[in-house]
Amino acid sequence: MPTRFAALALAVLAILGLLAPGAARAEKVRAAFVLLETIDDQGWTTCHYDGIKKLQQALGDRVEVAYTEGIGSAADAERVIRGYATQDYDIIFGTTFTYMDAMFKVAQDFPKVKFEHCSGYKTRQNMGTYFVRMYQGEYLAGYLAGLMGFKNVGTVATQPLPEVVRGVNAFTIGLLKGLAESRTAHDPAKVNTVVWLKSWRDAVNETTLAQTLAAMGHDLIRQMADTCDSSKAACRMGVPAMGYGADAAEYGADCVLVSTVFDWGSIYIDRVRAILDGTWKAEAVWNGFDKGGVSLSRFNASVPKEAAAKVLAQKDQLAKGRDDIFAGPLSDQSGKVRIAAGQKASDQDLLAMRWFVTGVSGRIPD
Amino acid sequence: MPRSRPPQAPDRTRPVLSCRGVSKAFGEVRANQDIDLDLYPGRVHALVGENGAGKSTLLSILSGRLRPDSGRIEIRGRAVRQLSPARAMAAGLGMVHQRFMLVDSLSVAENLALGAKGVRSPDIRRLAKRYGLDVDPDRMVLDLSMGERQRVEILKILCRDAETLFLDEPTSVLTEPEIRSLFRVLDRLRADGRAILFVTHKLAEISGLADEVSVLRRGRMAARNLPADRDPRDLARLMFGRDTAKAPERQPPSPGRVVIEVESLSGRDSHGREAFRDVSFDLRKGEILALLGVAGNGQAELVQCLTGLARPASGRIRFAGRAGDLAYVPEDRYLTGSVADMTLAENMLLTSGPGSGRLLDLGRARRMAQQAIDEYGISDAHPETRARELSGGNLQKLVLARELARETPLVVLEQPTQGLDLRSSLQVRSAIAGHREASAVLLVTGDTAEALGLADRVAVMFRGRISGTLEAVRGDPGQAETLGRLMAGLGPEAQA
Amino acid sequence: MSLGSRGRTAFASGAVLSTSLALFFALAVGAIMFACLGADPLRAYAVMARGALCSGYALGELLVKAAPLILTGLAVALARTMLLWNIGCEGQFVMGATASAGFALYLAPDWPAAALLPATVLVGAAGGALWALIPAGLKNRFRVSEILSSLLLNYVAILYMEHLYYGPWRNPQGFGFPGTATLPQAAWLPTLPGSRAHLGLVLGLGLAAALFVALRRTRWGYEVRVMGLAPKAAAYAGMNLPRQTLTVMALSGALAGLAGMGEVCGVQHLLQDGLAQGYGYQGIIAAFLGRLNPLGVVLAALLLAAVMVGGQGLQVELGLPSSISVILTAALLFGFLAAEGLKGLGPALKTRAAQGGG
Repeated sequence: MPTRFAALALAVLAILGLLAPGAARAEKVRAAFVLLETIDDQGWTTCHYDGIKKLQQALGDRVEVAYTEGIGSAADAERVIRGYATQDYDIIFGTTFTYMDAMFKVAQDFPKVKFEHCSGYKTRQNMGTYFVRMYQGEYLAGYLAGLMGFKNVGTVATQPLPEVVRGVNAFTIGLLKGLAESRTAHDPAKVNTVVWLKSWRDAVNETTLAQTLAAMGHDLIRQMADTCDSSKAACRMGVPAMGYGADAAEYGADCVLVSTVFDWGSIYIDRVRAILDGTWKAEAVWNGFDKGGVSLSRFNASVPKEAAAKVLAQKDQLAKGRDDIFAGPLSDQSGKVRIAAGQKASDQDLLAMRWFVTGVSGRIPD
Repeated sequence: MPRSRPPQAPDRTRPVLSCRGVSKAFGEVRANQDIDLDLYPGRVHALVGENGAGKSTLLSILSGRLRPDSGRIEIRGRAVRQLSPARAMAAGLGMVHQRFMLVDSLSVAENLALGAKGVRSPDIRRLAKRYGLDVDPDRMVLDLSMGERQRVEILKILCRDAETLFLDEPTSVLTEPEIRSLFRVLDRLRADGRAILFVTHKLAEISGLADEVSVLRRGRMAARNLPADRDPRDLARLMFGRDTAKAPERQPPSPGRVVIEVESLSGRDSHGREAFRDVSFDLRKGEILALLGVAGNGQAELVQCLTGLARPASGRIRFAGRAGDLAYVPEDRYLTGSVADMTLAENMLLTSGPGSGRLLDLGRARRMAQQAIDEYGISDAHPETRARELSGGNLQKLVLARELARETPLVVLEQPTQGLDLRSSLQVRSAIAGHREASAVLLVTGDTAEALGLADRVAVMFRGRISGTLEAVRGDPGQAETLGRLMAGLGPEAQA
Repeated sequence: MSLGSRGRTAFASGAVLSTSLALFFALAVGAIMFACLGADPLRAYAVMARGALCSGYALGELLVKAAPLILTGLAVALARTMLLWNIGCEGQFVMGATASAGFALYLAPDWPAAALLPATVLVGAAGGALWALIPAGLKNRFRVSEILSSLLLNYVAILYMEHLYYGPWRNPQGFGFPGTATLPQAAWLPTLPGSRAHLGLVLGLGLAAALFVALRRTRWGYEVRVMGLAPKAAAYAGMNLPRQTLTVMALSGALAGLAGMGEVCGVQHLLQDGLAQGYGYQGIIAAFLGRLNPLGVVLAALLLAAVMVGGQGLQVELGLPSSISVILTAALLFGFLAAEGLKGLGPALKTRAAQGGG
C-alpha cells in the first residue's frame, strides 16, 4: 500500500520482468500461507482461510496447501517463511504487513521460490505484493446507506492509516451520492462521524464505541474492524449496521444491511494458476471488482429492491473497470479543493491519502 | 461449644491405644525401632528421651502423620491399618504440637474453628477460663507471644474434645504458674477418663504428674511403664546412658565498664499498643543480667528496641560500642535465627555483617561451622548440612556459637534453652556462663531456675514494667519464690 | 561420607528426578492430546524434534527463540529469589526495546558501531531497569503489591511503544504504516554466521553464569537469598530490604530490557507490531521450570524454545492446530508443579524425622 507504489514498484518490475528467468509450466504447485491469527478468528485470518479453501476447491489436486497460524511477530515470520522455503514450497503467501521485511530478506536467499506479500510495498524479482480495492466496496455500501436515507452514520474506524482513511472517504462519497439521489435532507458537512479504535480488532472497544455512537443518535453503524462486534452491538441497540471483511450476518449480526467482503480466493487462484501456466511474474496486484478481490455480501431483507438494484448497477460499472469514485471535484473537511473538477485521484494519491472529504466529522489523529 | 464427651464408664484396665513392634527408618537413620507402648484411660503416661531419641517420630506415627515401616497400632483393641490424621482425629486422638500449627493471619477463634467446627468466641472464653489458659479469642495469632500460641495449641485440642491426648513438650514455653494450671487441666482430663501421653525431657515434671513413665533412647524403648516416682537420676541414666553433665559453676562477678545503659525506655508493639514502659537498667562487661518474665510482658518488644530492630517511643539507650555491634540469639531460632534452607556454613555468615566484603568467605564459614559442630558435639552434622535437618537443640547451639564468636561487647539471649533437652540446655548454659568474661550478657528468659543459675542480677518484667530486681544468691530457695511472685504481679513481699 | 554431603546429593538428584517427572508428565499429556487430535504421538514428537533440533538452521532458530526467554526467565527468577513477583517483564521488555530503538534512531544514529552497539545495549538495559523501578518504588513507599503494579505497567508500556511507532517515531518512508524506520546497521547485534542467533544469546548465557556465581558467592547474592528464604532472618541480620528491593527489581528489569533490546537490535531491526509476543510472561514459566536456578533457567528456556519452534512443524506436517505448542508448554508447567508436589513430600518427612525427639 505504497505511495509511490505504481511508479516505483511497476518501474522496478518492468526491469525485473526483462531479467526474469524463463518460467516453466508446473504440474502441481505447493503453496504455503503464513497467517496472523488462528483460522477461526472470525476476522482477517478467517477471510484469508476462506480464500485458501476457494483455492483448493478451484484447483483440486493441482495445488498442495500448507499454512501456519498465529504468527504475530516479524521474528517468528522469518523462521516460518524460511522453513517453507527450505521445504521447496513453490509459493509462499505472507498475509500481513508485519512480515514485509522478513519476507524481503528470505526472498533474497531463495530466488527460485515465489513470494507474495499482502499489503506491503517491498518487491523483488521473486516477490510480489497483493491487496484489494476495498474502497470500491465501501463506496457501494455508502451509496446504499444514502439511498436508504441514513444521514447520520457512525463509523468505528480502526487504525489511522491511508487504507482506512480512503475507505471512510469512499463510503462518504457514496453516502452523499445516495442521499442526493434519494432527496434526503442532510447536513452536507456532517453525514459520517468517525471514531477510532486504534487497533485492527478489539472486541471490547468495538462494542463500547458502537454503543456510544448508537446512543448519540447515529442512525447506522459502519463496522470497519476485522471482527463484527461493533455490528453486533448496533443490532442489540436496534440500529442497523454495515459489516466489513467477512459477512457479519454469518457471525450473528443479523441487522447488517450488507457487508463489504474480502475475496482473497480470487487472487490466490490467479497467482497459483500463473505458476501452473508458467506465467507468474512479481507484480503489485491491487484488485477491485474488476478482477475480483472484493465483493458484496447478500443484501438484508429490509433493503428495498430499487436501492439494491441501483447499487448493483454501480457495482457492474466498477466490474467493467470504470472506477470514478475519487473523481473531482473533491474537497477536504475545510472546504479546500483537493481534487479539481475533471481530475481523478491517482493510485499514488489513494495509497497516501491522509485527509477526509467534506461530509466526514472527526479528524485523523497523529 | 465442643461436645463434652467424657467416655462413658471406660474400662480402665484395657488400653485405649497400644502399639507393638512399631519401627520407622528414614534412609539409614532408624528413628523408631520395635516400639511397644500402651496408653490406658485415666492415666498420664510420660514419655521421656533426649533430642533425637525418636519421640517426635513416634508421636507422628501415633497421630497418623507418618506411616510406620512395620508394627501394629490398635485403638480400643481394634487394629488400625493406614492411620491418617483424619482417622486419628475421628478415633479421638488429639495432638498438641510443640511447633505451632496455627495460621498467623487468623484470629484465635478462627484458628480453633478450623479444627473444630462451630466453636465461637464465648465458648473459647469459657473453656479458656475453665482451664486457666488465658488468651483473647479475638486476637490475631500473629500478635501472640510464643507462650500464648502454646496456649492456643492446647485449647485447640481441648476444643476437639479428644479422648486420647498427645502433648509434645507442652511445658517448654510455659511459666511455673502456667505449668501448674496446665497440670490441673491434665488432672481433670485424667479424672474424666482420658488417656494422656506427655512427652517431655524435664524429668522433674514427671513425678508430680505422671502415673507411669517410658524412656526412649536412640529410637528404642529403654524402659517401659515404669512407676513415675522412680528416682529421676535412674531415669536420666536410662535417657542418656550415663550420668548427666553438671550445672556450670558460677564465678563471682568481676564487672568492668558499663556497656549499655537504658533510661526510662518505653516502646510499642507492631500495632502501636504500648508494650513496655519506663524501663531502666545498666549492664557492665562481665555481668549477666536476666530479664525474667512470662512471655508477652513486653520483653520481646524491649529486645527489639535494644537490638535496633525497632525504635523506642521514648527514653534513651546508651551503648558503648558501634551501633549494631551486639550479638543476639533470638527466641525464634527456626525462622529468625537461622535460614532453614541454607547450609550450616552459610548460616554462620548470617550476622557477620555487611562489612565483611563483597565476596562471601565460604572457607571461613565452613571452618566456623565445623568448629561449632566440634565444640558442641552436634552429631550427624557437617558444614554442608542444611539447617532444617538439625534438631532444635542443635540449631540453637549453632546460632549461639555464631553469635558468641562475634566477640561483641554485648550479647542478648532470648529464651536460649526453650524447648531444649536437658543436655543441650546445660551445654548452652555453660557456654553462656563461659562467655561472661568477654562481654555483657542480657539473658531474657521465662525460666526462674535458669535466671538464678546463670545471672548475677535478675530483673522481673510484668506488664511492660520492671516489677523488681534482685541480686542472685546461689542456693537461696526463697529467691525463686520471690521471683515467682514478681512474675505473677504480686509484688515482692518476702525480700531476699 | 557424611550425612551432610549425602543430603546435598539427595537434593540434587531430587531436582533431576522431579524435572524428569515433569517432562514425562508433559510428554504423556502431549501424547494424549495428539491421540485425541488423531495424530500418531510418536510421529508428532519426531516431527517436533526434527523441526527444532535436526538441522543447523533449526538449532539457530531455537537459539533465536531461547535468547529472550533466557533473559526474561532470569529476570523473573532473580526477583523471585527474594520473594518478589516481577510479572512486569513484558513491559520492561518493551521499554528496553523502545529505549534502545529510540537511542539508535534519534540520539546517536551516526555513532560508529564500536560505540553505538554497546551504548544501545546499555540503554536497553536501562530502559527495562527504570520501568521496573516504578513497582519497586511503589512497593517500598506505599506497600503497593508489585504483582499488580508491574503487571498493569505492561499495558502502559505497550501502549506507549505503539503510540511512538504509530505517531512521532513512524517511519517517514513507510507509506503511513505503523513502525519505525530500520535501525542503523551499526546498532544491529552481530549474529552467528549462517543463522539469526545473535549476541543477545551470548548476553543471556553470560548473565546466567554471572548471576549463578553472584547469588552463591557474593554478599549481595547471599542477602538476596536470605531475604527470599527467611525474611525474618534477613530483618534480624539487619539487611536493608527496601534498598535490595530497588536493586533486585532494577536488575530484573534490566534483564528483561536486554531481552527486548535483543529482539529489536538482533532480530527485527525496527519497532513494529508483533514485538510484544509474551516473552515476559513465558519468562515466568522458564523461571519456574528452571526452579529459579540461573543455569536451570537456561535449560528451561531452551526446552520451551524447542517446544515452540518444534510445535510449528506439527501444523505444517500433521495439520494440527497452532495452539498445540501452547498446550505443551502448559503441560510442561503443570507437570513440573505436580512433580514438585510429589517431591515436597520427601523432604517434609525427612524434616520431621530430623526434628524428632523434641
